[in-house]
Amino acid sequence: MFAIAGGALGAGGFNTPMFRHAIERMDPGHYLTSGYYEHWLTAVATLLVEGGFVTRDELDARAGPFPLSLPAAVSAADVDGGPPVSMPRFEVGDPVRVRDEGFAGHTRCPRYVRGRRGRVVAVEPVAPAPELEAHAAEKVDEAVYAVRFESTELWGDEGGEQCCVHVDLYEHYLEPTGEAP
Amino acid sequence: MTGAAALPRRNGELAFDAPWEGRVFGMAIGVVETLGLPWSAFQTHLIAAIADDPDRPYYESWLAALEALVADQGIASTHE
Amino acid sequence: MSDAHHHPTEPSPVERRVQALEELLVEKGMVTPDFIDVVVETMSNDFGPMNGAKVVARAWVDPHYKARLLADGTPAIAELGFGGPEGDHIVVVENTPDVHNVVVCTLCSCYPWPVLGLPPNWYKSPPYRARMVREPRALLAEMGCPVPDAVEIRVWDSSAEIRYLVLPERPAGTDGASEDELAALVTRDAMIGVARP
Repeated sequence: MFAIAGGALGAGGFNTPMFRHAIERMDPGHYLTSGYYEHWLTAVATLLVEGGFVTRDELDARAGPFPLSLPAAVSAADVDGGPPVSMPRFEVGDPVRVRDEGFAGHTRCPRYVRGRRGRVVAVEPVAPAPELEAHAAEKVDEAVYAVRFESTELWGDEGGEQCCVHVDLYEHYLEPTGEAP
Repeated sequence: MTGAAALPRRNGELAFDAPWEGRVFGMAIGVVETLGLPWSAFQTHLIAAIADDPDRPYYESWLAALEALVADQGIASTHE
Repeated sequence: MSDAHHHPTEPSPVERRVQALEELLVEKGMVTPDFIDVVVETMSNDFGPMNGAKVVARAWVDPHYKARLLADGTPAIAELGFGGPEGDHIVVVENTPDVHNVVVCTLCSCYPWPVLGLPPNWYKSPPYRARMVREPRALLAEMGCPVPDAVEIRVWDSSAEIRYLVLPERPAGTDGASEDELAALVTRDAMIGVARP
């Protein structure tokens, strides 16, 4: 299931009916050499080995000596909560406001929610933050939130009754707000 | 692998409207897999390509996004 | 008109660009033509709404499966053998008599490939993407899915990693139906949220 340099996924690799969870599709070699996600990678690799999805030997064969430095007590919840570098700032139920400036370059923040207030309804698995500029020097994992916006908040009087929109927003798009939307 | 007879079908519906769409789709998947990038790396370019020209046919934006990704990753310059 | 027997259609500019790019990428070792073929075949045959329909039918007949599916979509979907690219984080949202869910991707075209295949052209169109977050009730009515005013509409904009799948309400009068019969009632449009089974 790991991508192989040269573009040839193992014969039938992409065609395999049973795909595994996302974390099993990572290619440790690439991530190590690219310098990304090192903490997350360690956590995920530990989980893979502990879960019996790959053996230590397979990891080492792919990527050289593979650091598995997390304590044995690491759990899926710990991995989903993110590496120590980025603890989620918001919780389910928190009122939040989307920033309305500072979105230079590539962004995953839809325009129609900028400056609007909503409420966190879910905290999602940590994801790499989208690049703010074409060649960002650092890539950081951060929490993503499903934020619920009432239609009237987004569109004023034109917003229908009994309508809301949920948008999945990266943490750095959000600020706390004291007002309940 | 050209011609209408080769168009892929799923549940009686075409997966792609023309063979070239399937090729450029597969190429994007391949490049991302080979480089070990997350799919979101391609999506970022797709989002930008669509925003750049919202009325452009979808897979032409996809092609533009793939070209941008290829250039961005230094695989090839725009000259090639 | 051109005589197809003697003058095959010239490739369009975009076809020429795609061909050139493929040649270049193959040359650079980034892809192989076989890999591209496998991807196209997978998207055409292995991924499609027939997968999502099986998931929905299972949830309709098995309350424990439904609970697992709503709690964490990806592993529950994997129980039936489905998963893969753009299906690594699937959240299933349930339609009820009081709530109607519908999915859109305003930024591009994000869609849960392993359970629905590739998105239809209308899903990727600027009007759908712009209007569904702005006037969902009117747009749904236009698309043949009127939702009464008293029913709450929840729109889900797939702007990050999560891919959403709507679990439609089980139609009335299907009590004796088998899972296969139920799956046959579930359409792609119902799992996007723009139709009811």
